[in-house]
Amino acid sequence: MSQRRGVALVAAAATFLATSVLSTIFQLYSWVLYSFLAIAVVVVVAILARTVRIPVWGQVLAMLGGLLLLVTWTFPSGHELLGFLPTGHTFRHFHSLLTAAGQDIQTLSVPVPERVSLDFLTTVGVGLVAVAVDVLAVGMRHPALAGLPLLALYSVPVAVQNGSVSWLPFVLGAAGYLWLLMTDHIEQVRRWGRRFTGDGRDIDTWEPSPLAAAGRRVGFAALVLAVVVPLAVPGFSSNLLSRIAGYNNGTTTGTGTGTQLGTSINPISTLRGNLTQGQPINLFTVETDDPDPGYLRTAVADQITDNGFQPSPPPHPQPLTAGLDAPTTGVSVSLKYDRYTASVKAQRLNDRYLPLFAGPTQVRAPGGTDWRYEPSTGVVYTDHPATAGANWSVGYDSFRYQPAQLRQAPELQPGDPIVRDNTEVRHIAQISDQVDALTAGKATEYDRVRAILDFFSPKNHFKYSLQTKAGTSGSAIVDFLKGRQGYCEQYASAMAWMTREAGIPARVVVGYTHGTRLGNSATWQVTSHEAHAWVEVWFPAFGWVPFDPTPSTEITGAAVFGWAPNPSTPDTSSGPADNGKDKPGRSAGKSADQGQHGGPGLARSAAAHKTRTTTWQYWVLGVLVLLVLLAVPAGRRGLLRRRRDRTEVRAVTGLTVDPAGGPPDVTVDGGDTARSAAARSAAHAAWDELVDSLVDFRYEVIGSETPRGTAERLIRTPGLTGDAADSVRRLAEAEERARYAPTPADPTGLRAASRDVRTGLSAGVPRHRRIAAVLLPRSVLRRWRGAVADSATGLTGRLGAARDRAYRTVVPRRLFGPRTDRSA
Amino acid sequence: MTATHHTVEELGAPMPSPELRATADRIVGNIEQVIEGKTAIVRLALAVLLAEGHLLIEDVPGVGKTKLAKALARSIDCSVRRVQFTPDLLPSDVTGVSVFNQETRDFEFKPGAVFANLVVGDEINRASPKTQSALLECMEERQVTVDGTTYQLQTPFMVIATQNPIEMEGTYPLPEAQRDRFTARIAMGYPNARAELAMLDLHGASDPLAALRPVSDADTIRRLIATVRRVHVAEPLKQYAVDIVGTTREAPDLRLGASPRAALQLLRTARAVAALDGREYVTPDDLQALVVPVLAHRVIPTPEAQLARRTTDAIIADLVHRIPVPGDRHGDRHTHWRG
Repeated sequence: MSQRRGVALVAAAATFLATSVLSTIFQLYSWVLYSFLAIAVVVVVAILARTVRIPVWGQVLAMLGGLLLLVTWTFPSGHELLGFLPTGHTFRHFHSLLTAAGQDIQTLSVPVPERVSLDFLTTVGVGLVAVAVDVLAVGMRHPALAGLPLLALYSVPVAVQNGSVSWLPFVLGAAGYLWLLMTDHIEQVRRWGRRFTGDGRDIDTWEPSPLAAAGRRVGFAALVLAVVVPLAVPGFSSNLLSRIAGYNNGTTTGTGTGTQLGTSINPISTLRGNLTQGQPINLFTVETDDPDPGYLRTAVADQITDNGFQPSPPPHPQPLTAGLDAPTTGVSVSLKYDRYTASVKAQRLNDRYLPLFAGPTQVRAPGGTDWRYEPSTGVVYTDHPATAGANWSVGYDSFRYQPAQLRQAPELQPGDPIVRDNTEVRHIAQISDQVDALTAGKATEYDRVRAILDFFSPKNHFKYSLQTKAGTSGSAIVDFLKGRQGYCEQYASAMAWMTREAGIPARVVVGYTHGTRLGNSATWQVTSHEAHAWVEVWFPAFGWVPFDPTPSTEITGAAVFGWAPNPSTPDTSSGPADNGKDKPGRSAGKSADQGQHGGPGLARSAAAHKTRTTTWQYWVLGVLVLLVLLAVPAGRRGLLRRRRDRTEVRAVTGLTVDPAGGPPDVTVDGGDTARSAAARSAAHAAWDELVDSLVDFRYEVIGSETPRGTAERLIRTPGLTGDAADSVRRLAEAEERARYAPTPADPTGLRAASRDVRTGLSAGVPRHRRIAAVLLPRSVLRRWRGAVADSATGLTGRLGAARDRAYRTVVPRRLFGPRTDRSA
Repeated sequence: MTATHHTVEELGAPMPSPELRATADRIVGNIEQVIEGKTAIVRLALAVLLAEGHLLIEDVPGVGKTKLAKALARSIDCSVRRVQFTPDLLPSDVTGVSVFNQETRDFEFKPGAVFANLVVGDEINRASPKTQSALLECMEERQVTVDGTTYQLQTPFMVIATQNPIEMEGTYPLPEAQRDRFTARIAMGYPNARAELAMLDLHGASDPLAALRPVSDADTIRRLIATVRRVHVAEPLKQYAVDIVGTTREAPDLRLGASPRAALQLLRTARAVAALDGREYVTPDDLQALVVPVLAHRVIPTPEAQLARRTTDAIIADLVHRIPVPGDRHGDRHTHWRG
């Protein structure tokens, strides 16, 4: 025998095909070389080891040794013996490579550039998979199990990448696996002798057997289905179900792109554009004790342009080390706030702005650069991207604005520099008219802002889209207000513009939503899709109050501001708003006019409490449903037993009703009187109960055994004694007479006998089997399984018959007329 | 099938079940005075008698084949003839012969050995095929035709033949047709140690066979036969018998399966066994117990099975385990959801 050399080679090839999935996580192709080397070394060593007939565990050691020599040679530390024999230095080097690889995995984004550490990891990983595949497929002769390591290899990019993995590597990997299975099977068949076709012709080694054509077709069809079905199902592919991105990738001054290592956000907010959204990239995580965090601000765009807003040069920058202005300075004492701390851990974010929550009191910024702080905007920035891999923390005050308070804000003073700087606007007649119409009759600043905010409602046909509609007016804002579709930048710019038009200071803030909570922890994951832009409006004695005009249904992690319900929420004045996409804790927003007593804080805790309650209820409900489902077979069994008991009762009462022995002259089939038919069915019922009990307790049930034989066997092997033995004989005789005798036996007492036998049977089995017989009776399960199988068989049979009929009706030959050879 | 010639009236009134059982137990007990520890075989022999069949006892010499035959004959007060089969035995010795009577100046029929209620044919395979085949007509048709005249045999009529399977030199193995006419073939088997010891004591002093007194008579046996004929056989059991016989014809180990006559005799013997058991109905247990004695001598194994040293007994016993018992409620119920 060739020690299954062919299978070993095919297993190696299948592993190599499966590595093609690595192409999705690497930028370049050095992994191909390393994978190939690793697999080649493993398979050559394995074949050599089998040639000298080393046992399987020895083969594994040999392959691992070969792999070790390979990595020593390809990733040397410079202190190897003869260049390929590992020393202590080598292993320390490997350790540092692995550590570096771990860091790279943390910091790099997919696709990753070429790194020695990652190449090392690839070589070792692919080599280990190759060893596992070889041992399973060749050494242990279970090639089907070799699919598991191959699947592990395939799952690496699936786990690393947020989106879906291309179908091509999947097809290659699956085809390799099928190839391995087929080769192994052919080899197994050949061990039995020659392979031949159905009509007796021999088949060459390399030739596919026509008898296995169905198998090949099934394999191919399964592969095609696996590829095609997910494409058709929305939600499997991010291409079909794109979600929001605040992440600007296309329009103006190019900042980060998805393929680069670091990513930052464009602080310029435009009124027109289109958002090309790539795969979401994990930017950073936020850990905060705030149960309901708001938005993270990075930059403030307060300078108006034709196309929107852009950041103005910071007027009064100061070093961050000099400390921050307290957010509570100049703010009304009646305004309540909570103080929280958040620590941010950058993943792929590399920006010159620090994402911070509003109202920062204290920032511990990462080192390495001199961070500056602009008091007028509250932004912390530096002159070059410096957040890569950094951590920072921020203490902040989260204000609980309430509509009633905001309504009582003092009048705006036109001379105030804040008012002067942030009301600059380019007057466009259409916009002015629109704003005048919206704010007419609104007494307070708050009501005017609300009027403008609510204007961006779906009722006014505003909708979220990653692309604005092109317009012809020559003005970006007029185009947007006509087209009424866009993403956060357009909404924020338009609202800030219109608010300024109303004479109220407003600016656009660029940053991130709080993203997605990781499990139930206090940590939130923010990706590039969570970049966002919103509006801050100045209220004297309250400061800059955030408003978000973008339809929150489309934003992951959109905050619901209690003082300014999102215009896209269906009914802004009643009950908790529902914006679908959010975590339940955030979905319960606070209606504007409810702020009199509660305020957002209260609403939050109530919402959280409610969520906990409902989760708890769902759990209980789920457990109950599960219990009910589990109890169904046992219930069915109990029902059957009761029904059988009733059969006996019926037979016995039928007898006692007519004690004189004069049977009612009703003959049922077979010439039986009704009375003896009842007695027969009572005996059958008792016997059925016995057989079901046998199945439940896992005693053997033999089809060719007579009732008497069964009874004798039960008295012999579980050792039924006393009453139980008498009872089982009694049941057997009753059943025997019911089946074969002209007159059935007296049915009285069969139920008691049945109970005795069941007790006797249960005493003969271990406790766990007794419990299983009660909880999950096999008799019921087996019957259901049989019924399912029979129904399926019947269905296929009927389908086949229908097909045959169809073929008989529609004969292609008949359609095309008589065949020429027949007519000739 | 001449059994049907005798109507129930001719046979006598059927016997109630307890009486039948008592009579049967009496006969069995009587025989057991001679044959120790072979109750099952003795009962089977009696069942064959009541089923109006014939019995072939096959075993090595000295295990009591002839003794069983003679004990059965002696226990019943009826005519008994014993024929020692030898190569020079003539057919006329079996059937009878017409001789010219000088006084009446006419041919006079001298009945042969078969004109008795019980015919014990010893070492039947030592006779020539011609003589063996003379038995054929008698056994199956219960009549003898000599010189164009047909003579009816008595009822009950039973041939108990013995043969020795070991010593085959100078023997003529029974042809298939003749073997098929025996309802059952039984092997005596060696007695167990205790029975053998008891036998040494018993037979050492005198011949117990000589002391055996009849406990029944031909009339009683006729009534027993009438009772056996009335034993109820449920429809599914008839199907079961047909199934069993049919399976032997399809079994890969068998070159020749059992005949329809086999099915008939299987059922008839089952009736007798049920009656001996005190039942008025046949159960599949009866059939299962009879399958080997009734069918095994009628089938021929394939050369492969012979090479594998599989006896027909083992093959037949295996087959029965593959046939579901009629009216069985384990196998077919799972097709219904409601069970």
